[in-house]
Amino acid sequence: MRSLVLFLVQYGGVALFFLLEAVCLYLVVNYNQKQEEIWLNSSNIISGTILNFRSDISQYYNLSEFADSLAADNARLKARLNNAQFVQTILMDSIKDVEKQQQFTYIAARVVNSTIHLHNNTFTIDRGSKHGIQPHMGVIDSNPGGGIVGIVTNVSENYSVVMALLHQEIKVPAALSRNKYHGFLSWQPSNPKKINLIDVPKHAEIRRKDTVETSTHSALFPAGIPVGIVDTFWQDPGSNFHTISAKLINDLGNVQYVYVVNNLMKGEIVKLEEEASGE
Amino acid sequence: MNSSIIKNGIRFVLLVLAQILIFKSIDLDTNGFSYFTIFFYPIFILLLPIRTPTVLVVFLGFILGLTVDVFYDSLGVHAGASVFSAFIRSTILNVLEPRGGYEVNASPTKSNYGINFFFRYAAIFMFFHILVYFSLEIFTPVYFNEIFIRTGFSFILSLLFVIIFQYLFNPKE
Repeated sequence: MRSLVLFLVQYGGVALFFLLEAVCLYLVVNYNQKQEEIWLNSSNIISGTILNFRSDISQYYNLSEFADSLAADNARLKARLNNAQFVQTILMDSIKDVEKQQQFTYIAARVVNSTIHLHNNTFTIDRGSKHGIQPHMGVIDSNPGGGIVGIVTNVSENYSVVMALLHQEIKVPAALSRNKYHGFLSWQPSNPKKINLIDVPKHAEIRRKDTVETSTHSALFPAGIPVGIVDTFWQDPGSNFHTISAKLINDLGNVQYVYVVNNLMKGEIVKLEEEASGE
Repeated sequence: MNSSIIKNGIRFVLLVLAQILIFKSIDLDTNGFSYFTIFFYPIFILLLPIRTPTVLVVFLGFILGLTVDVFYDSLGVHAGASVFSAFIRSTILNVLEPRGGYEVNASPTKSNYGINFFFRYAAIFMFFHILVYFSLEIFTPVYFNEIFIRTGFSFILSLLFVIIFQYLFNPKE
């Protein structure tokens, strides 16, 4: 009992001080009109700060619009890269005249619908004929590591449907980046993370971890975009070709932004090849 | 001991009466804006015996402030200031403790420890009391200047009256 009294004498002052100051503050705010108003106003300032914070968050949601404009910017910049240019270099005597002409332009688009678990998968993107998209245009991923998405098949005014890389009918020329041996990308409905490179010549030297990239044979994609990493390869009995199973560089399950590739010289190539085969 | 309680009790009543009857009416009121308030009642806390436990000082400060508040119609404002100054009283006394220490049952008065001691003690005490009072009265840091101007004016005048009180009555305890 004595020690309790001593304890109270020693520390009770501090406790009582805080308690009574709290009581005083309560009295001040509740029984004095001016202070009450100031108190309420200050509370409003605090709630105002919270509301501001909330609007900051809603701005965050507007970020998607912002991202759209950035994607469009990217498309413009991508079109200025080297692999989007057709090099018109002419060697004449010893004068080297380097001239470049625009070959590829890009249209940024957002994926609005996609499937990856069906046998024939498609993507729907929010750009259409109004924005310059035509069937048989290539679609690449916005993923900085590379990766392609598929080929445009149907176009409406505002939307386009893309035959995904994960489609049984897909056939995109591709090559090994190390030695440039060609083949075709083809997909068997099994694993949405893997793709096959078929028709690779038998004598091609293949190693695991080789990169598969888009080739110069394709009129739909600029050359040199990484597509996958070689995982396994084999030779079917009686066949003269290797089949390579590669792991896709991009995950088609979470593609958000894509670029539709517009090859300005495709018409010329197609026309020429038709003429040649018609002869 | 008992006489001390009675004396302090009487002092309590007289100081509150002086405050509400005299000093309340001489607030210089110009256009509804008073530049100063003379604080006379804190003398009660100021002169409590030095060995009074802080708990008791704080509690008495609260009762004193609340009593004054009732007459000033500003519930909590004087009380808040009094509780604060009552709480820091022991700290001020420790800081100003003379070389020989305080005598048992002594009060910190002019007659016990000299005008030098008492002036410093009262000045620090009154300054904090008045500063807290105007902080609670104005209640917003927006009028920072006003808090300091009014604290300054009130401080000088109140301290003057507190010292005059010592010379008039020269209390031993």
